[in-house]
Amino acid sequence: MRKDVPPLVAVIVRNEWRALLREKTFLLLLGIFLTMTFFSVYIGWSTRSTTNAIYHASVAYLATQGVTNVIPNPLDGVSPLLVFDNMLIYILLIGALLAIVIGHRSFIRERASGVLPLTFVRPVSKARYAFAKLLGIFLALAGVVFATYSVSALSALLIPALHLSGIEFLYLLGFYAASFLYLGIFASLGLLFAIVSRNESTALFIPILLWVAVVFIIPELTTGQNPVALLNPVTLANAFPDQGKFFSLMSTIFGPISIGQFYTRSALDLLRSNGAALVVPLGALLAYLAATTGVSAYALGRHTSANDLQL
Amino acid sequence: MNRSPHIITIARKEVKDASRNSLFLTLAFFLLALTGISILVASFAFQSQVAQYHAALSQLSPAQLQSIVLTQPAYYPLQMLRGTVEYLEIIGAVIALVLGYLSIAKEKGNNTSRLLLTRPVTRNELMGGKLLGASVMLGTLVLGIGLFTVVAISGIGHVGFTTSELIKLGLVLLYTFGYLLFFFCFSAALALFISDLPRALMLAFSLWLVFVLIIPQIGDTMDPDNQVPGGFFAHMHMTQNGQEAVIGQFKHYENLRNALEVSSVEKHYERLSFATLGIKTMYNDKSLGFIMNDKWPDLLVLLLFLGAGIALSYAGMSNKRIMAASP
Amino acid sequence: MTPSITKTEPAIELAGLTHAYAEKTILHELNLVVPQGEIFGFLGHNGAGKTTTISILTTLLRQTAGTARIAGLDTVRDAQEVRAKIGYLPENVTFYNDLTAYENLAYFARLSGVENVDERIDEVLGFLDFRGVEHKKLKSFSKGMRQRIGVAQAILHEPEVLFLDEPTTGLDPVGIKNLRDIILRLNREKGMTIFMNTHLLSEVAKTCTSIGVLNKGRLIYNETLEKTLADFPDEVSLETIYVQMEEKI
Repeated sequence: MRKDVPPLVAVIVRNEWRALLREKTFLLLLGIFLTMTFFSVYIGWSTRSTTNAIYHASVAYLATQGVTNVIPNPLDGVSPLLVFDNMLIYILLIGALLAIVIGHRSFIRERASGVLPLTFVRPVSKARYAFAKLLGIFLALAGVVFATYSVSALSALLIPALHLSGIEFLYLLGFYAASFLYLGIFASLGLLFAIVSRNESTALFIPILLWVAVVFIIPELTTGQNPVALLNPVTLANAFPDQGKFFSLMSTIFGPISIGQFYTRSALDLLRSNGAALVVPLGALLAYLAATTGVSAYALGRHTSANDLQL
Repeated sequence: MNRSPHIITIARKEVKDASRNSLFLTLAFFLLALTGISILVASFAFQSQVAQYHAALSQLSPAQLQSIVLTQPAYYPLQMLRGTVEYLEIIGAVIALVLGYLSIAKEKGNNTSRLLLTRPVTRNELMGGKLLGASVMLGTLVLGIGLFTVVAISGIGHVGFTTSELIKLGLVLLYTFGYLLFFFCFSAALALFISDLPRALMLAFSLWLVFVLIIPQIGDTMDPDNQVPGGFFAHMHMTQNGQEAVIGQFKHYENLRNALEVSSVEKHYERLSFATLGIKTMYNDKSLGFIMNDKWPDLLVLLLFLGAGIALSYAGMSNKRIMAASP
Repeated sequence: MTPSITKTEPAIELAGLTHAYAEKTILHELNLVVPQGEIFGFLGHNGAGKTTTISILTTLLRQTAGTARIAGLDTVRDAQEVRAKIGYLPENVTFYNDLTAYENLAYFARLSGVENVDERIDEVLGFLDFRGVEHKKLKSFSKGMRQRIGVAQAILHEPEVLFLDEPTTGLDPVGIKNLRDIILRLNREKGMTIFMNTHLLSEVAKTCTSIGVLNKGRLIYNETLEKTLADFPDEVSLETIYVQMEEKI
């Protein structure tokens, strides 16, 4: 009889997914995310081919003006994978919100429905519960990221003029793996504040405010770029000019916590098929993911043992 | 019975209630902090430009100085507000959405709506009171940001504002107020029309994501000029005429890009504000008449959105809808 | 415009009151008269249509057919005038939690057109023996305290008819007794007519002067409490009488 019982962790993970797949909020954001994924390649590709055509039209125009010594096409030699650069922005924006919602709902669902006492009157240790919860969240997130990769790869195949080599598909996979690290940080933050905050809306808004800080405030303070410019992959892709003492001071202060910039730097390098400079930003993302996951696991074990259970 | 006091009673309660809501207060404070950061960043960025100009100047020999023309960066205080306007259009809209949602959800989610509706208050008075309350709160927020802006820019830049600049700033604050009130009405109407409250909030938030962040972002990244840092055409050393002649050959692409942008209320607010503040350089230092002559369609669309939002919120206010979630 | 009300008008009068929703008839031609000064207990199972009836009487819902009158005023045509005459305590009453008790009460008093708001709040809290909590936020209140503020908001404007929807839900025995005392005093000292939805029969026996029984949207019984007890001389309690009535259906 006992042999037929699936392991506790599997039971919790499966329950996590089942509940998630019935969450309308999650499905709505996922829908927007996958739709944008599908279109992003087309947007990137049509922008690039139009810009190329504009370059040739400009050369022709300049020739009529007697200018023959024209600058070479700035898009020549640019990695074809950069047609995916809009995905970076969607992951930065929609993906992060989706990840926050996954983490947030994972715990709020349990607390609001009052099932926590029902769980803990059963032989489930806190450690195993925390492990299963986080595993469920990360596997769900991995599923989302893999679905996004598949949609990207498929839509790339649908544009015949865009030839990607096998190695480029691998770099694309690497890009999504880096995205998983970034999204994992927000999923665990969503979970963490759902556990420690008694108020549901506060629990949701704190990680959202942190997200605003990571995507807008810190990059603005360290680079001097305006918020909307920070949503343009071309702005993000280019090294920022030295803008004086204030910005270098800000970079020193905020550099180490600039999660958004660690992500954009590593993601863009992967899209440029450039693996050389990846170690530092990817390492930083991994370290942050480990830290936020650790703190969430601790909070999950601690907070669910106290009077939370009488909710 | 005298009708107007009901509206005022309701508006006063709305203000009192929101002023004790820590979420609203946190968001409002956050927006103020963002404004401060943007002005600070813009000022330092300007300072760096001036320093670069002087550095370049000092490296040139007297002979070169005669042949190379370097223009000194000119300081226009209103241009420091680019980041502020961008935060208002993104984060300000979220605050207004939250406020609109809370204003309805508070009544609908618990049964205070039953206590309200069994009193001699008409449905229009109820919505009118809520709108008046929101106007006071959003108005205070916008005015606060305006005052903060004036103090911060005069303090950091040690440059005062001319009367014309103050009028332009006042106008942009008015556009902001209208833009935010639209989001308030829009989210209040969604909370009324959609019986499930969390779903209404999520839908409001998703539409914000699509129309405030994604669509303008697509429009921006599809701009060929944005494909090269510093601008594609500047990189190619193209004149304004040449640029127009070339872009003229890609009308369909430009029309598609423009269609995307104009579908978002945010873009209208942005175009109007950037023109008025002279952030869009062709309008810098121009008269209001000149700016309005070009930008009245954006103002009109902004007003139409606001009108539609208000109409929708009034249309949504009925016994059935505001009690939908009651036991 | 306001029709004059004479003492002879019944407090509540239902004539052929019918309500249907999504092709399901919830109330079937209810006819009922509650004279002024009564404490009327409206009994019935969950889902019998009690809250629908109270929602129509308090102008929250429009019936599909028939009429409902409060002190001679039509609940649809004269809705605004009716609202000035009624007080209402919904089941599980809730308030604006970030506002204090005083602020909540002042808000509802003003909406009811009360002029001397401070005096009235003080008077009502005194009547309810509940002074001293005015400046506490509602979120710190227990269920029993909320219920008293609920009663306070319902009587601030001295309504002629008070509607109570399952007022004892969630109250402890002391809370139930306090509420019962308040109901009796409102009726005796202030002359309010009280219409109470409930399924707590022991409370009905202790407070009501007449009862009506609703079963699947039909009024199957309507009598004074005295007559009811006389009609069923062999039964020891209202519970057993009620069970008998239900069984007859």
